Amino acid sequence: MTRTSALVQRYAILVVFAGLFAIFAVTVPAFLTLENVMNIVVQSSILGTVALGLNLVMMAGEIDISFSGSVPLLASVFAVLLQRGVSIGLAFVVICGIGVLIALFNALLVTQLRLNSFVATIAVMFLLTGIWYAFTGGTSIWVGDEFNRELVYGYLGPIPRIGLILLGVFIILYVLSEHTRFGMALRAVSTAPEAARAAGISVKRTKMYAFAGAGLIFALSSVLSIARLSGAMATAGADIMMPVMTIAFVGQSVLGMGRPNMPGVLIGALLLGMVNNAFVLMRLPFWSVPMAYGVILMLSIALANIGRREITQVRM
Amino acid sequence: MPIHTESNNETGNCLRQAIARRPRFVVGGWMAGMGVFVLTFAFLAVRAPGFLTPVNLVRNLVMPAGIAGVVALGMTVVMAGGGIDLSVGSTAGLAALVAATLATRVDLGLPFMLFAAIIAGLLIGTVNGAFVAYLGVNPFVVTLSSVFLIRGLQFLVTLSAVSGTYLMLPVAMTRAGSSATFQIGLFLIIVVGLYIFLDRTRPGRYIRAVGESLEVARFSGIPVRFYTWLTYVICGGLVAVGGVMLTSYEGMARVGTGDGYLIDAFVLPILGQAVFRRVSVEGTVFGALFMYMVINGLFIFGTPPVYVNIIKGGLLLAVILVSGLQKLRES
Repeated sequence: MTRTSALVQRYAILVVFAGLFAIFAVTVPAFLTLENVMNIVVQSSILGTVALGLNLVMMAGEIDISFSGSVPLLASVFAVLLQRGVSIGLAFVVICGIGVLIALFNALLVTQLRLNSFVATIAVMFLLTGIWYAFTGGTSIWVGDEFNRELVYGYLGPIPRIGLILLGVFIILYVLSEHTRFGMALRAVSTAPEAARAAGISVKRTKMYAFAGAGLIFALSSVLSIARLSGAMATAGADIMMPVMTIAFVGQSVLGMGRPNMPGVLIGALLLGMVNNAFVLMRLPFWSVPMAYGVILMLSIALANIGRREITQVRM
Repeated sequence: MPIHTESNNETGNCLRQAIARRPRFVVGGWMAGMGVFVLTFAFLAVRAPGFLTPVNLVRNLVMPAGIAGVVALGMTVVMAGGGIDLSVGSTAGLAALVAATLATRVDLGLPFMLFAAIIAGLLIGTVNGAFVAYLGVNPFVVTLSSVFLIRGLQFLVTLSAVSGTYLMLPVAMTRAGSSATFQIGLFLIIVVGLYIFLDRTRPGRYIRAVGESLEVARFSGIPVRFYTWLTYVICGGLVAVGGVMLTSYEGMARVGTGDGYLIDAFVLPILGQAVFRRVSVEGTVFGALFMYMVINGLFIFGTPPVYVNIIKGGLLLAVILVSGLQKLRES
């Protein structure tokens, strides 16, 4: 790879992010206000949190698509529990439990049965979506706006609490993945499983922890999605899959890492949130937003692929 | 996505031994698959009232299976070449909308609609294939971003601002589209044509070779990039035909038409693979007929339609579980 292309690869996403921010700030009225920037943070927080969880699994060299079934399912279970008078704390523990169980099931399929994690978790996703649809009958479940007031409109200084939760999850995962033995093990099992095994790391157990951690984060995000919308939405599942995957893949190409990393995910989440926000402010037709996401995803992956032209195949 | 396996693990060994002790697994080999198929058919014929009527078999079983089958056959070609295409449902929907939009504006008949839709599908396939084969981008990622872009194009084609807006087809078109001769005839033509192409012609065998082993195919002098690209193009064209079959069957199209067929396109080839031991045209057709027979039977027994996705997801999970256990036993 030449020096130039290495440079492009390293800073392109950051330049795009800064460039878009500058363009929007100049051309879009009301974009560059504290209120709106915090709005972007709120808009990015749910997708960002889910993507951080997904990224944990991707760091272990696997993928977990089942989030797009589990997040809406857990949200509606949580909403129904609240409606039945269960306390918030208990309801949260219950959905965390279900989230981890689903994750362990995925981990079992991937580590013990050695199934391709994409295919296995997409099957689980279809199943969960079906269960969720049968459970809710395709309707939204409202829970009142106590969460909404608390998390979205409750501020700590200038920052909405929901943004702080995103930041908190990010910091925990960042420290975990970059500064602990577990983080090293995660990277080892994905890049050099043989070496990891020789060094005494259990590949299966490490992957299982990654799945379980992601399951917990998905449960947390389902509560955040309720907080943002005051209920469990009828269309939640299909709406989160593509943006979350985009954020996770964009994250890989930030700083030319070429590997899943937590800061990249945070930047990816803010990038998508910013584009969405600015497009709405500019009153562009709403379908231009997914198209912009598609372009961003294509570009970032093309960037991450500079200098590597081998065809990627998929084994079922 | 790298997939790593681990050997010499205690749990894995126990599991492997447990499986080894069992007699041969039921869903292995096409004889067993056919047995399950025939038994299910016989059971439904006896127990499900109205199952064995020509109207039910043609309109509620073979016609929907044909639409899903054509979309899944597109995926079959891509999978045979070692790839995957997540945009099949969206491409079918886009093709359907192109056809439906034209049908509401100009009166040129079904063949013309079909032609226009196929062009749209081929274009999408060309772009997907170019990114995968010539730029080396992960097919999951390429086709995932296509889903976004195609969703935008769907709105653009209909120029509607709301995703729920329905585009009704002219009656003449609907009449042709809901005829069993058109639907099943098209399905049969595609099945026979694709079977001959994939298993009896040179390009088809090259595609299979690329799917089996990229390295071996390359050393044999096969232009692997071209044939990988070709699978996505063929897939786009086939899926577009599926989209027209769908829209003319339903008599309308809207943004998001066809999205639900992604799950079928996933399940059917993998179901076929479990029975025929490889991704194949006959396997996918078997999968389509089997799955829609089960769904048809459950509907007759009064299962609410909301359970359809659980059935499909459960079937997919069951099949990959069985094939996972088989692989584990063989290793």
